[in-house]
Amino acid sequence: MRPDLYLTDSAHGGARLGVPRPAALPHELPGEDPHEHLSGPGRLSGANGPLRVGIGGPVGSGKTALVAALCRVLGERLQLGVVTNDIYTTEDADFLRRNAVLPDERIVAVQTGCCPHTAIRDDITANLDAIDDLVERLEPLDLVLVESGGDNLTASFSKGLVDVQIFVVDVAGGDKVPRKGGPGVTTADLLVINKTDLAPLVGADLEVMAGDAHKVRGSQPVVLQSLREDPRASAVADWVLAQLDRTAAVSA
Amino acid sequence: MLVPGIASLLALADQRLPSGGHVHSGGIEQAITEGLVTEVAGLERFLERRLRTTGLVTAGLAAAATVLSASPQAPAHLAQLDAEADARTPSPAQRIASRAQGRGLLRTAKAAWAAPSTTLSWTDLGARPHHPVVLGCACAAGGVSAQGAALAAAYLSVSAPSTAAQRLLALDPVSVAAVTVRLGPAIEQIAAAALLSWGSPDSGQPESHPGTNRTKTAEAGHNIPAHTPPGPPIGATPPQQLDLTKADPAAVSTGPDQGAADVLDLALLPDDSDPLLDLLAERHAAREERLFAS
Ligand SMILES: Nc1nc2c(ncn2[C@@H]2O[C@H](COP(=O)(O)OP(=O)(O)O)[C@@H](O)[C@H]2O)c(=O)[nH]1
Ligand SMILES: [Mg+2]
Repeated sequence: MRPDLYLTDSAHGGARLGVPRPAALPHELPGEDPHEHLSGPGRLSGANGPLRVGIGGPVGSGKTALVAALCRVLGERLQLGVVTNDIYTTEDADFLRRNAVLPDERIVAVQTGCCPHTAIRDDITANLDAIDDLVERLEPLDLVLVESGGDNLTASFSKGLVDVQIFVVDVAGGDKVPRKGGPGVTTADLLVINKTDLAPLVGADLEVMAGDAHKVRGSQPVVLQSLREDPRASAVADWVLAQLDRTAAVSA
Repeated sequence: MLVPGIASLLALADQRLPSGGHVHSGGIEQAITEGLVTEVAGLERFLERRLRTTGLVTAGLAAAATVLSASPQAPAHLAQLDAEADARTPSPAQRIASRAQGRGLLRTAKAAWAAPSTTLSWTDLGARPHHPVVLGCACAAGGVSAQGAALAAAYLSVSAPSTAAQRLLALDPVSVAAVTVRLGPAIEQIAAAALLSWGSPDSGQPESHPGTNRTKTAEAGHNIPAHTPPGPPIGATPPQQLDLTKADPAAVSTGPDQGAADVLDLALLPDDSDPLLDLLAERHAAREERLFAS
């Protein structure tokens, strides 16, 4: 093939000379490996890789505590991996490692370029690479939890990065949070209202919070929990297991 | 069409292209930490310096990748080119950063184009090819010329650190954009110099009509028009002066039946480097706390 053809105007170039243009329909190439995109956009987990669950929400709402709880509870029966998106690199990952909820090699921290929500929604490359590395190293994996940096109340995970997402807000943030909405609160597959033990201390009305949450979320589920009172995060763990069953059924 | 593949070129040079660039600062995070860059004027000097070294080298590699993508022995030639990229990247931290971004761009390119060319598949590049190598192959896939590939690489060498600096120092985005635009002519010069370094016999001449019987250079598949006449290096103290008169056109014009790598002497690809950037990259990689991967 003559490379100089690529330098010519295609209006009278490659096509007329019978040189196939390189840009063509996707997946028409022979020998393309369908398993190659371990975490390509739009893929539903199950057949090719772990279920990827995003855990988002503001700083301090209890995301890392929830990840730790899920690791403790689900780590006994599932092959787990965790990716954290800290503002400063490794804090969450260090916490999880220190608390030995999982072996160190199952926890990866990614750098987020001074903007964690971009790293989970726009340029998700660093996270996809981290997941691919985990899968490569630890295959077979059942579940990968991706914790967001929590820098932004409107941050949501790209569908190219996770299969389902949990949004965690806390009671101490005030009972207005569910009413104010935002994409995390309204569109997450599961909304968790955490730290219910603090409600009396901060004067938050749990019924108002739950009511507002259901109002903006329609039929999407809402969990009220206190990790202080239920360190096993039972309701969320059950929900995650149900997602695993669902994706297994879809891919079967 | 105004310029072949121009829409692909714009997409590939777009900062929002999801290929991992968001978490790479091109050394500017460390430069800022060490107080070397504190405001827009310092940023401009840093960018110029990076353009003349990293930008020139990656422009040469990307352009070569575009040309080699179409070679009958493309897989072997691109493996060779990837090794040349290693040889031109002495800092291990920078190698890792380049390969990380190559991996990211590869994912996006795979989703966008079935293959770089009829003689090359994306898997031929391996899992973590150097970024400029993937960039050049993506340009080939999108019908972008080698010149376009060089331009994209040179442009990205300044756009990545400039947005990182904008975030880290909360710089005025209007001023940062103005700096990038001011560097435009230098970016074009560097792209042209990168092409000229391994020879561009038709430099400055209008594109030939396809199918016309051409010189032996064209027969061998190497006719890369460098439309921008290279000017003298700009700026104050470039780490290495570019002697643009030294490009040897004979180096690219050998017999017609030889493969692309034979006529494209990879040893002639630019190999400039800047010890400051290498050191910054290494010190950055050794840090515990950082916001960027490089
Ligand atoms: N009282 C109370 N504190 C909690 C609860 N869940 C988490 N915390 C605490 O809230 C703080 C922030 O939690 P963390 O998981 O680091 O939040 P993240 O920033 O969302 O990851 C920590 O001190 C946790 O121990 C809860 O249910 N009740
Ligand atoms: Mg956290």
